[in-house]
Parts: sequence; C-alpha cells; structure tokens
Amino acid sequence: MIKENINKVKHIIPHYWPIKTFIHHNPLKAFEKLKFKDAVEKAKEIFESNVYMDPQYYIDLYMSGTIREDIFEKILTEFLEKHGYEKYFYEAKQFLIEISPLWEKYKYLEPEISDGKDFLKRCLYEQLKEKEDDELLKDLTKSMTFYEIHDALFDTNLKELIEKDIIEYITRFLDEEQTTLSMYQRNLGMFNTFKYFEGVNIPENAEEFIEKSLNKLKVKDKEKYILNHLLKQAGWAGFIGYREEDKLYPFQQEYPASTIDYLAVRFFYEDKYISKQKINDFEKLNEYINKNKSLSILKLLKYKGVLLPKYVDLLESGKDPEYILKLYKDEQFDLKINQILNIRQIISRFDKGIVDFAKFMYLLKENEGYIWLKSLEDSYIHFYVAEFKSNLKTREKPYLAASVFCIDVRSESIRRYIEKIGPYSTYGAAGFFGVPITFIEFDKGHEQFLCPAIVKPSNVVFELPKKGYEEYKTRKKAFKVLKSVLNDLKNNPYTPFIMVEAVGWLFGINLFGKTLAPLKIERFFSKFRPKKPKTVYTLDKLSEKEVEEFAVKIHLKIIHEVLISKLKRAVSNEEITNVWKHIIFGEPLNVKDVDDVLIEILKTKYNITKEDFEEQKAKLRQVGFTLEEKVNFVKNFLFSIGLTKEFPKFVFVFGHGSKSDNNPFESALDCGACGGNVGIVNARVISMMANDEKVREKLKEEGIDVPEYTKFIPGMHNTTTDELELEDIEILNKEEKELLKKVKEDFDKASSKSRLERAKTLPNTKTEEDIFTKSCDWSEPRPEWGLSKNMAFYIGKRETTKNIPLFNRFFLHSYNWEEDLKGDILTNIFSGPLVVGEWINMEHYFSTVDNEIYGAGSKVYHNIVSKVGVFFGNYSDLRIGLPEQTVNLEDKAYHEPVRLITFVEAPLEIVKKAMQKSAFSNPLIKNEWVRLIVIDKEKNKIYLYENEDFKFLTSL
Amino acid sequence: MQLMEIVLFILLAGLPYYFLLRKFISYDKIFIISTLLLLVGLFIKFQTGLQCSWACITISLISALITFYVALKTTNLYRLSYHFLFINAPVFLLIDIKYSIYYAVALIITLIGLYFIGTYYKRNYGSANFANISGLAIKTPFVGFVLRIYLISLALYPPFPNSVFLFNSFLKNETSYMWYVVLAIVIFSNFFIAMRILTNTVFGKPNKIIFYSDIKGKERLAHFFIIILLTIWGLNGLMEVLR
Repeated sequence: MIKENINKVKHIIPHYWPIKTFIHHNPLKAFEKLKFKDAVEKAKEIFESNVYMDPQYYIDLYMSGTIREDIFEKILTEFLEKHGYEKYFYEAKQFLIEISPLWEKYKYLEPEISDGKDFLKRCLYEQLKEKEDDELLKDLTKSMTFYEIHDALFDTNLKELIEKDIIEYITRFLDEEQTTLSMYQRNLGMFNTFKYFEGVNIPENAEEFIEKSLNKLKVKDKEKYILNHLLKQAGWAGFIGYREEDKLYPFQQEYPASTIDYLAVRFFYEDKYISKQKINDFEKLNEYINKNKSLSILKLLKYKGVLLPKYVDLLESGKDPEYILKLYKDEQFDLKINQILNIRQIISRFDKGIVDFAKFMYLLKENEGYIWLKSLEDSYIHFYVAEFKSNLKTREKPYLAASVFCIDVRSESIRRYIEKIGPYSTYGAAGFFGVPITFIEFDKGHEQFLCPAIVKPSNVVFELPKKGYEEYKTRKKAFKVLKSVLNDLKNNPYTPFIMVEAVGWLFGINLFGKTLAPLKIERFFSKFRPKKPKTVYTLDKLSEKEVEEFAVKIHLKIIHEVLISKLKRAVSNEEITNVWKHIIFGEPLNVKDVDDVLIEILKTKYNITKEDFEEQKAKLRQVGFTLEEKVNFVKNFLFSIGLTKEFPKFVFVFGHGSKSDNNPFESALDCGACGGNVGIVNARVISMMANDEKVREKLKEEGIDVPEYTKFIPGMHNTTTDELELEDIEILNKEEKELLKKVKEDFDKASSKSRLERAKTLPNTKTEEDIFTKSCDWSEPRPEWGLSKNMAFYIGKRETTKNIPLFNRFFLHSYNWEEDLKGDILTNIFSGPLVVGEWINMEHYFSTVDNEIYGAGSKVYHNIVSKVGVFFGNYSDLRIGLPEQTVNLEDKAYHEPVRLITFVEAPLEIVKKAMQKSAFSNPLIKNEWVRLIVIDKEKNKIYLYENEDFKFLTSL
Repeated sequence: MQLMEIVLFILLAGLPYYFLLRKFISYDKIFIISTLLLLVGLFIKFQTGLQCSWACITISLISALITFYVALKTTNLYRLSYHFLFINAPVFLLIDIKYSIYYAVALIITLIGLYFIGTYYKRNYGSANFANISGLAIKTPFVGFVLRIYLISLALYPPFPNSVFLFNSFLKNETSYMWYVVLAIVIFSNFFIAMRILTNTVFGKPNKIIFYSDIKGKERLAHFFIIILLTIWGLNGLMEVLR
C-alpha cells in the first residue's frame, strides 16, 4: 500500500544525474504528458516556483523590438477573443505593458475615488474576500510536514535539526569516495545501514517502518504527505530516484539506495524529534489548531513570510489573535480593493461594471506569462522564417573537406567561419555520431556511457596503448606517488601541522601563479604532466575462443591474488586452475591448504561462480562490433547527415569538450549527446569504422560509394577556446599531410574568428588571450557561456542556414529528406537529438525563470558534496539545475527562456510520419514543449504546429 | 553596593523600561528615553568618578543576558535599538568613564541610524518590524548598504568605532577575569543579534508580497551624515589607540 503511494508521487521529483556526468534534463519531465501551459501551472503550485519571467523582463524585450508589436497584438487579440473580451484590446495591452509590472504598488496607493467606495466593496466582496479560516488553514498547511507546522506554531526549530540529521546521513551513505573515512556496511542498503548508523533496533523493513511512522503520526492523506517529504529535499530525492532506476550505476550496485529507504530515514528523524514534543501527532495538532484557530493561522502566515510586519508586532505585543486576524483579513481585502480601484482609474475606458473589470484584470494577470512567452517565441519564429526564406542558395562547389560537428549550439559560429574561409562544407549530427558505446579508457578502470542518457549502449570499447609508453608510465607513477603521499599527510590528524610548515610554500607557487598569471602557470605545469600515449580502440569482436579465454583469465587472476594473500606462499598455475575448475565445474579439489571455507569466501566475497563466469563471457561478447554493426553505424551516420555522395578528400569528425579549472559543472559544458562526456572517443570510433576497407566494400553494396581517397579524420573541438585538434593523422600519406597543413591553417583562422565573436558576449573578455585565460582561471565562474541562450533547433540542409549568423543559439542537425522518404531518419532525429535538445532547453528555461527552485543558485556558495553534486555551505539540499552564473549576468537573465523552436526542412507528410513513429518526441511536440515549424520546400509552404494541428504560416 | 552604583545600574541596564516604561510609553519612544538615561548615568559616573563593584557588574551581566533573551524574541528595530543599549550596560559600569563615553557615543550614533531605519520600515511597511522583509540588499540597495554598516558596527567588527573603542578600553586598562567574562558576553550578544537582523532582512530572497521602496532625498542625506559621523568617530578611535 505504502509502496503504491510512493510510486504514485516519486516520479514528480526530477531525476538528478551525478555531476561528473551532468545530464541536462527537463525538471518538469513528469509533467510532459500535459500541455506546456497547464503543466507549468501545476508545477508552480507543487514546487511553489516561478514558471515565467517577471513581466518587466518581457516588456523590456518588447520595448527593444525583440518581441514584435504586431505579433504580440495578434496573440493578445486571439486570447481576448477566446475569453470574450475582444472589445477591450487597448485596455488589455495597457494593463500588460503599463500596469502589471507595478501590480503590487497599486495595492498601497490610496485611490482617489472615495465616493461609493463602500458600495464597490460590497460589489467586490464575493470576488475578493479572504478565505474562510478552515480553507485558509488547509491552504497554508497543504505542502507542509508535521515538523514545519510545529515550528510555525510553537516557535521550535525542529526542521533544522531534522533536515541536518537527514543530510548528514545520506551524504555519508551516498558518498562516492570524497571522504577517506567511508561509512561501514553500506552494501546492506540505505535503510539497513541506517539501523547500524543510529544503533537502533528496528525489526521492520523500510516500507513497514514508513507505514508505522505515518500511522503513529496519524496522517490522513499518506500520498500527499509522502510527496511533501520528498519535496523538502527534492535534489537528494531526485538523485536517489536516479540511482534507483539506473541499475548499472556502479555505486548503486554496490551500495543500494531507494526512495523507500530514503523516506524511512526521513520518517525516523521526524519521529525522533517529534516524539519528544507535547503535541506529537496530527490528531493533537488539529485539536490545538481548532482551539487556537486565529493564532494558528497568524503563526502559519508568519512562517510562510506573508504576514506583514505590523501584524507580527501585534502578535509580539500579545493582542487578541482573533482581532489581529480580522484586521489582517480586512486589510488584505482593502488592499485588493485599492489595487482594483487604482487600476480602474488608469484604465477608465472599460465600460463594464467593477466586478467584470476585476475578473478581466485577474484573467490577464494569470495569463500574461504565457502571452508574453508565446509572443517572444513567435517573434523569433517569424524573424528566422524570413531569414531562411531570403537566404540565397549558395553555389555548390567541390569541397576539399567536410567537417562534421556536434549539433551543439556552440558549433554554429566555428562552422560558419570554416565555411567562409575555404572550400569546406560542414554538417551537424548528435555528438555521439550515432554510435552508443560503453568506453573503458586506458589507465582507468571505470566505464563511461558515451551516448545520450535515454540510450543504453550494447557495445563495449577498450582503449589500448599503441606502443611503448614508458615515459607516460614513469611520470604517471611519480604523480600518483606524490598525490598519495600528500593525501596521506593531509588526512592524518597530526601531519597537516608539519606539512604546512615544511611544504606549504611549494603550494604557494601554484596558488599565487594560478591567481595572478593563470595562463602562464598552466602552460608551465602542462609541460610536466604525463602525456597520454597514442592509443587504439578494440573495434573488432572477440572470437568465442577469446571470450572464453579472457573470462577464465579474469577469474584466475582473482583466485591467484586471494590464494597468495590467504595461504602466504607461492601458488602454481595448476593449483589456481584446479581451484577454479572445482568451483565452476565441480571437479575434485587437489590443492593443499585450500579448504571449504576458502572456497566459500571465493564464491561469496569474490563472486567466483558459474553465473559470474557466464556474465563475464556475456560482457566480453559485447566488446567491439561485428562487421554488420560497423556498416550499419557508418551508413546511418552518413544518411542522417545527408552525406552519401560527392565525398571530399577529408571528412573531419569533431567531438567536443570544454576546459575549465575549479569548476564542478565542467561536465555540463561537455557533450550532452555523449552523456556529459568529451566526444572525441565517438568521433574516433566512427572515423575508424568509416576508414575500414571492409566497411567501405559493404557500404558500396548498399549504394554508398566512399572513394578510396576520402579519409575520415577525428578531431576535438574545445568549446571554451574554440581550438580544433586533429587525431589519428598517421593514417595519411605524405601528400595528404601536406594538404592537411593548409586545412589546419584555415581551421586556426576560423577558430580565431569564432573566439573573437564569442569574446564580445563574455564579461571582462576582449581578446583571444582572455578566452584562453578563462579556460584555466580557477576564479572564473564563466569559462564559457556553454549552452546558454540556446533557442532553436534546425533539422535540414545546411544551405538554408548557411551564412546566417545564428550566434550560437541554434542546434544544427544536417538532414536531407530526399534520402528519407519513409521518415525513418527523421524519426531517429526526433527520438534522440531532439529529445536531448529539449532537455537542454528546458533545463536552461527553468534554471532561468526560478534559479532558486530549479537551478543550482550561486556558485559562490557551492561546496562539492559526496562527489555527486554541490550544495550550499556545509549542509543543504543537493542543488539541481544550472548555477546562476550560467544563466544570469549581473543579476539579469542572460539566457532567454523560450521553448525549443524546432525548424524541420522536409515535406509535411514525412514530418507527420516521423512524429507518429517517435514515441519519445511525440508528446513533446503535441503538448508544445517544443515549437515545431515545418519548412516544406516541395510545396513551398511553411507550417506551424499548434493546438495539435499544422497551421499554414507563410509561403516560401 | 553603594547607592550610586544602584542608581547607575538602574539608569543603564534598562530597569525603568522593564518595570515602568513599557507599560505606559509607546515602544517607539523608549529608545530616546533610554538614551537620555544612559547619558545621565554617564554624567553621574563622570561627576562622581565611581568605580563599580564586582557585585554590581555581575548583576548587570545577568540583566544583559536577560535582555539578550528578550531581544531574541523580537524582530522590531525600535525595540532592538534600546535592547542593544541595555545589553552593553556592563561595559559602561566596568570601564573607565573616558572610554565609556567614547564607546557610548559610537553606540548611540549607530543606534540612531538603526532607529531611523526602523522609521523607514514603519513608513514603508507599516511597522518597524523586519519579520518577512527580506532581500533588502537586492531590492533596496541603499537601505541594504546603510543597514549593513550599522549592523556590522554593532556586531563589533573592527575597524568600526564600536569595536575600536571597546577593545581599546580593554587594552588600556588592567584587566581581570571579570573583564574577559564581560567582553565575551557583550561581544557574543551584540554579534548574535546584529547578525540575526542582517541575515533575516538584508539578505535572503525578496518577499513577493512586499512592495519595496528605497530611501531617497533628505533621509538618504541623514544616513550619509550618520555614517560620516561614525567614520570621524572611528578615526578618532584609531588615533586614541595609537596614542
């Protein structure tokens, strides 16, 4: 029963991915099945947040011409017609532009009309009267937990104590090796470990415990109460929710946590502090409230921050609460009357009665956010439609090279400059280039999922060094030893005192250097860092024999280490193999000193079992790709961008990543399509596959003839510095290398131009040098703007957008509908890149409209917690979303919050087919979380999707 | 305890307030009366050259702690302005008259500023109470700025005159355990109350239901004047320290 209650509400809390692989996501994902307008209203109530910008923000855009007057007027007219107020267009416009920004002010001005004010009051009484006490109480307490109500009514401080205890436990349990003193027995699971942590004997499991706690508290609406608890620390609840659903997350596999466990911990602490209070359940609380209704309402109003100071004064001076509440209600009513009368004086042409005027005014106030938002979006839609229409078709010429970039908005400017500088064409594709992989980097043990968060990769790629890497190994070892010594010294209770005196000055060099001359010191120290050797990837499948061999080797290696440590003697290969065969195949055991206990340890603690052996084999079978897989990946990649003929000499495939120092949000600046990782690996994988002769032969059979002279070269686009670095150029011959030099020079020029363009938008940045400095300055809160200001998505041929400066605000996905008559490629784009784009867009939207609730707040107060995210100070909720510095500049929004305006260049029928087939994006489009515009060049028409229909917008 | 000590204690530690004034006089006038009583007390101390006994100082410390507790229960700036005076009573009883006067002048100037801010609150928000009026630093930067100056000064942060004179008096006199106890309690109480106001009203998220309006015109000049006075007095304090 409780589990059902929890399952019904837990999805409301947005998931939070660990900060190491920051995944942009829509914080209102749970509401995507609703229309955008309805969804944000609902979310506003649940999260008590803003969902639109302040009216003044939109008015400024209107005054500056960004919001077009005719479009705003058209949308306003449609809105008024829908509600039967079309006659009052000018009044409505005046209200939205002049009155609304000063909405609160009109409450406090004394209206000049004094005659008949009482009559007006009587007229408006039903409309504006304050709620009845019971209703008011219900409203005030609806999102509060018991301890919050207790704090409000009895001036206690239980919330702080309870939340502090909860955060202390969960941060320690969820720790991902930030601390050197890990919590014991975390493998038992969050709630079972908690019992040991608190030293309490709780016989029930988490679910039963929650049920018991709720019954003890005498909670009536359990579902609502559980949601209230989850909302108190929505960040932590979101992270636990994510872990619970990602069964492959290593820390979840090792230390399981669940929302039920988390709630059990919460209810334990609530009970711990509440049980000591005189009023300790809802029955007693309600009894108290009923006896002291007025006082309770006043105290709750004070707690919620809505009781004006003068009433707090009256409360402090011990006046009768009933009297104070009456005063308060009367004043609230008077303020509303003042507001209406003051506004009525300004909007005097409204020819209906005062009650209708009030209704009209409140209707506008409730809907102004959406009216403005739509006006802003439509202004951009019309502007860019005109731009695309007028864009002259560029003359096709033979290109020397094609460069494929990620669809990421930050690729736009560099693509534009590359195209301008030389005979180069550019393409856009999702940065994982259609190849989802599990990657195990050389010298690292853990897996990285290099694909969008909604995709689960089924191929594993290992990175192996190409040849000798002795220098790297030596340097790496030296660094590792140094780091380990420093860590040991730091974590020892006594040594820091000595360490500061002895070696502190060494750190001073770095400290002052990084502060005063970050770029110079970075260049200096980079000379000493170990340089990764040239590597290759395991792209071919292992044979069944190899799979078997490697799986056995893994087990034998573990057994070898265990036997040596337990038996304290040398162990022969025969002995190890005998132990392994005994465990796996049940063969007789002939090894001295190895008893059943040790065998059991190997089975249970080290997981040497038949099942694990099979599992290892299954994993090994995932390594690499079959030829068919390779062909399919390359074919899909080329088809998706529309590059299937007239191949140039070079095809550069650029993954992207960022560079910054002291920035916990660094992965938010990396490639979203690669799961918040750097995209170079996927670029190398697809290039290696495309250069494979066997793959090319098969491709030829399928109608894609990649000439022998065409070489796919992977590269890396550093989005912070706009540098382009090429990899694997050793596959080129001497002539090709010479040619590449020229290309590289052109790319450097393009980088330089792009840097200068971006420098204009970044604060305190004038030169290219400043951009480089930002990438290594540890005090820099904005190494780059990232995806801020993202606004639109273009799916179509580059010729339509080419030469139009889009100022890094467009996701650009290349697409040629002529090669996709069934709409399959477009379906894939809708299902993957568009969904990722919408997540990024909505993350930015909500982080901008309410950074406190949906964003991460200011970076100034951030501390890294448990290596999973950031929180404020020494304990707070886990901060989800983007930091203030990412979306704001000097207290003003830098990011322009609009829904993703998606232009698709394809015949309407193909778009309809793709919409129907794409389960992921269909609700997003239908419910208007993205705005869809179809550019149908066949029919020479442009359509806008609205109210579940395609409306003709204009002709081409 | 001598009679004069008892008179001094009554004048400085707020006893008239607790037993008489609060019942008959509106609380917005109590600060003015308490300031006058403090000045009278200091005048008597100056005239008589009285050195207070440990018993008197101990009682005044207890009274300061009670005031501290009372101050925690209110969020009204008028009330807090005279609570600050009473909390500092042990200092005036303990230290030399010369330093008492220096410190008293600094404290009174700062509290006048705080009192004026209370007046601004009353005019704009209906009361001198700061409950639920948060985010002044964002919404009304000038009020946020001057209130920060007053509160930091009251919280005894150096180099503001309050701290300069208080610490100077401790440096220039022979101290005992009682001095340390007084210093610790007074610093803690002043700091705690001032920071409570600072975090609750100057910082935080602005309240949506409040229509904020910043100080303008002559009132702004008056606060500039108070800050200039504080600066001059602070410089005087630094000269005194260096002497």
